This record gives sequence, C-alpha cells and structure tokens, in this order.
Amino acid sequence: MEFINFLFELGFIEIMIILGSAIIGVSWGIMGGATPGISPSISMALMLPITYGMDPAISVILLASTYLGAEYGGSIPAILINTPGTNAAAATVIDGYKMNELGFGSKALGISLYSAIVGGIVGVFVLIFFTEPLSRLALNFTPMSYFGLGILGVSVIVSLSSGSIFKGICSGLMGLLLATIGSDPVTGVQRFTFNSPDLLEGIKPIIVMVGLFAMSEILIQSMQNTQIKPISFSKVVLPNFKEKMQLAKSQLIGSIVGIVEGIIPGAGGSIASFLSYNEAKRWSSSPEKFGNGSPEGIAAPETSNNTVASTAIIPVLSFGIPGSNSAAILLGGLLIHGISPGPLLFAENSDIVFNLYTGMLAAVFMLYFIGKLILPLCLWFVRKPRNILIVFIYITVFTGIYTINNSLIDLWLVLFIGIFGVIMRVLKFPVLPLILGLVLGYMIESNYRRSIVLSGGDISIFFDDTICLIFLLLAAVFILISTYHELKRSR
Amino acid sequence: MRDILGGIVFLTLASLFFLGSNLIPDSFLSDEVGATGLPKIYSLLLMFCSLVLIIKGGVVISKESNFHLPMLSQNLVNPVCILLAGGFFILMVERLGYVISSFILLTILLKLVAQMKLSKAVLYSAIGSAVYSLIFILIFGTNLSLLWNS
Repeated sequence: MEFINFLFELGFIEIMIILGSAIIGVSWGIMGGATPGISPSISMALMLPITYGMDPAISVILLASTYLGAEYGGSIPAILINTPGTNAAAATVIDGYKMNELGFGSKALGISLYSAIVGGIVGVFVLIFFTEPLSRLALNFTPMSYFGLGILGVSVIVSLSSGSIFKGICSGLMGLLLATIGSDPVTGVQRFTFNSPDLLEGIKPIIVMVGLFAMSEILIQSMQNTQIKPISFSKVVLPNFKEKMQLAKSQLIGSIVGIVEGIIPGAGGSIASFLSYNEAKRWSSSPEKFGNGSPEGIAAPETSNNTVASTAIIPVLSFGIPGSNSAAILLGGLLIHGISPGPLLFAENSDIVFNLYTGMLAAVFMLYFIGKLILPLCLWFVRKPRNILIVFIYITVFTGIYTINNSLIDLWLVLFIGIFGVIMRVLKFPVLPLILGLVLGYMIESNYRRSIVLSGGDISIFFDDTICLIFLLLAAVFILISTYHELKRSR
Repeated sequence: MRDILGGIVFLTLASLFFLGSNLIPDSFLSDEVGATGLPKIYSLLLMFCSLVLIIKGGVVISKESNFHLPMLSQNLVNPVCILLAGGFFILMVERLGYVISSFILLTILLKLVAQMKLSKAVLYSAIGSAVYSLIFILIFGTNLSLLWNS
C-alpha cells in the first residue's frame, strides 16, 4: 500500500502543515455551512481564490476539509433556528429542530457532530480504497474513450435538471460554448478572444465558478433584508455509549446511501439525506418517533451527507468528472494548479492524492474538536448583520480573483458572470450543467477531433472502441432513465 | 414566464456565439471539423433548445391567468451599489494600488450597503484593507507556498 508508506514517511513539519490546513478548512467550512445561504460549494468557492498561491497539496486539503466542515456546519442553524444552513441539512431540520424545541438542542448538535464524524470516516475510507482501482481502469483509455467519458459526464446534466430538462441542456450547452473560447485545440486559431491575450487560454473554470456561485449569491443576498432569528446559546453534548449503539443502525443506513449517492454523479448530499432519512424511518423499530424529535432522524441524514462529502470526490479523482457543485469546485482547485485528474493523476501526482487522503482523515478527526469549540464563534458569526458579511465576502472574492493573475479582465468576468448567475437563478436554470459543460468541453472537443483525424473522418471509430461504446451506451441509458423519471414526476 | 425570459436570454447568447463563429479565421492546419465546427453545432443546438423553452413558456402562460416574476420587487439598490463599486475598484486598482482601492471599496460598501456610520465604516475599512493586504499579498502571495515547497 503506497498510501501507508506515504503516511510513515511524513515528517513533523509536513504533518503540522496538513493538520493546520485541515483545521483551517474545517473551521471555515463549519462557519460557512452554519451561515444560511452559504452552501458548501459557496464556502469552497470563496476559499478557491485564496488557495491559488498555495501549494496544490495544501489547496486540495483546504478545499476538501471545507467541504467536510460545511456539511456538518449546515446542521447547526437547522437544529437551532429551523433553517438549514445547506441543502443537505434540510432533512436534519425535521427532527433536529424538534429536539431543540423539546429542550435537547445540545444533544441534537452532539448527535449531528458524532454522525458527521462517522459518515466522514466511512466516506474517507471508501475514497481511499476505491479511487485508485477505478483510475487504473482509465489507463487503457484512447482519445475515443475520453470522448465517450466526456459525453457520459455531460449526460449527467439531464439528472441535474430538476424541473426542466431543456433548461439543464441550455445551461450545459452554454458551458460547452464557453469552453470553446480561447485557442482552438487543433489549429491554435483564436476563438471569441477579441484579441485579448488574457483570453488565449480560455475562461478559467475558477472564474466561472466564483462568479456563478459566490458573486451571484452576494448579489442575491444583498437584495434580501432578512431578519436574523434569535439564537439561544447552546453547546455540543455528544451521545453516550448506549445512545451511540442506538444510533448505529441509522448511521449504517446513512453510510450505505451516502456511498452510493456520492459515487453516482449528479445525486449529491441533499438527495442522500432525504433518502437515508426515509430508509432509516422504514427500518427503525420506532418509526413513529420520526418527525417528533427522533435522534435517529438526525443521525441518518447527517451520516449520509458527510459520507457523500468524501465519496463524491471519487469520480473527480478517477475520471475528472464532478458529480456535484462542491466536487466541481474541488476539480477547479486541481485544474488551477495544472493538475489533471483522471488516470494519470496517480502516476504523476500521487503525492497530492495521498496528501488529500491524509488531510481528509485529519479533517474528520479535527471535526470532533473544532465542532465543539467553534460553536460560539459560529453563533456570533451567524448573528452578525448579513450586509456586513456580504461586504467582506465581496472584497474577499475580488481580492482572491485579482491575485490569481493580476488580471482586470478576470475581475470584469467575475462581475458579469455573477450577474448572469443571478439571471439563471431567478429564472430557475440549474448552474451545475454549465460548470460541467465548461470543465468537460475541452476534453470532448480535443478528443473528438483527435479521433476524427485518426479515422480520417469516419465516425464509426467511436463504436469500434469498446470503452467508448460502453460509455456512450451508459450515457444513453442514463439519459433515458433520467428523462423517464422527469416525465413521470411532471405528470 | 421564466421559460420565455430564459429562452430569450439563451437565444440571444447562442446567436452571438453563432455570428461570432463566422468571424473565426481559417487555418491551413484545419481538420475536417475545423475551429468553427463545434461552436456552430453547440450554438445551433442552444438556439433550438431556447426556442423550445420560449414555445413551452408561451403555452404555459396562455393557461395561467396571472403570473409574476419574483425578486423584481426586492431591494435592487444594494446589488447595483455592489456592482458599481466593483467596477470602480477595477478601474482604479492599477492606478491607486490595492490598499487604497480596497479601502475605498470597503468604505463605500460599508456605508451604502451595510449602512454603517461613516467614521465606523472608515475604521473598519482601514483595518479590513490592511488585513486583506497582509493575507493575500504578503502571506498567500508568497510565503506560504515557499514554506511548503521548502
């Protein structure tokens, strides 16, 4: 096991740096997650520009531990003020807030924290054991296979388009079009660059992600004069041994659901939370308690969404396909350092992957301490007037983006993409398909054209390549199933 | 209504990309697909999907007696202030430098968006711009990556 050897070879300074990064990431994530409206992906998007000047290993640890922290942080306002901090914490509101109303708010927070740690541990171990074998499969990939993989990745758009498949497809096509900006991958001809050297390499995914997630959120939040609900001061009381045993079954269900939902692109933490809540209720010996302050009703969704926080990274590292907003931002974090996830990641940058594993393990264990210690700071942070937070988040975004390239074009782009993000959100267009299109666009185009050159213009080359054919068939099945569910739901 | 507006926005963007792809120069290195191939295909597909949305939206509206677009009634002053101040920052940052530009940006936004007293806004902005310069320029800009790489 290379990873075990890597752990033994770590020096004191390296361990301290990894621990420090995990602590900062988890703390930032918990505070972001605890602030209603700031989702894990927005917390990560805010962190993204800051990580640009850092070593890639530190930056991926910071981003991944922010993701882990934010998933737990989302449960804090869910339990205390009946407002989920993140989408995935929506299922926690049902029993968490009820427990708080019954006077067990501290215990509810403790169950949430304990379940987050259990989910995190399960997720990180699944990540460690599954990522490398999956990526090894990809070593046999030809340009046709990569094209098929890109199409499979883009097919996820259909399942991400809840409400309207056409809106999702429009968003995805927009992403594919944005990916064509810059130098043509075959001829080097400039496309849509307006002769600006800043656009020669295309629009960086980080700019689009920060614009669509962070900037649009700032603009939307600044429109709302939301009153902050009063929050009672609480502390975290972890469950005792007997209570832990009682939670084990629901945590097992949450973990299994989290593993499956995390690996499947497009599913995500919120679906996993509700699914595990339903399953835990179905398998519970006292289902009547669900909805009335059941500890199992907190344990299942919290375990599940924290498992997803790790397992959602598997398709990113193995194939370079992000299945969720947060995974897309983690991918952005790798791309800005010139690291391409996929089959060669382990061959070329195994140290970064192993650092990520170590950092995530550290983050899960740090969650125990930070989760208990940071609560007063979170409550102070959540109680601050929202507009002051918005102003400081705005300057963080601006400064971070500016320090990437010292490029004013990037700042203008973030502003305009932020406005476009507001329009998309007001008109209920999903944002993630655009990111997917942008991230996968180059892979699709360059490999499609390379394959066409290889075959002399014969498109049957895509069907002769077995791996490509499997991906294309999977994409077709994925689209058909998602369309069927969508049609069934709309009826 | 959302479908129609969204359709119009995406149709406009797709048309711009389609027209723009006609301006892409040819290259003697060009393959069968060419530099304009996929941008044209994507923009045509986007036009088609946008039109479907517009038509679909029209059918839905004809069935609804009243509809409204949310958020138009909300406070638009704050986001406009944020955007204008951001634009000002972009225009000024290379002339005035980061510290002064960020100080001005913070002061404007804390006064107008967070509605702080001017003296308090100036104090917060001075501290804020100093902290941001320290974090982004001095620490994240150089030292941390050097420490790790060493």
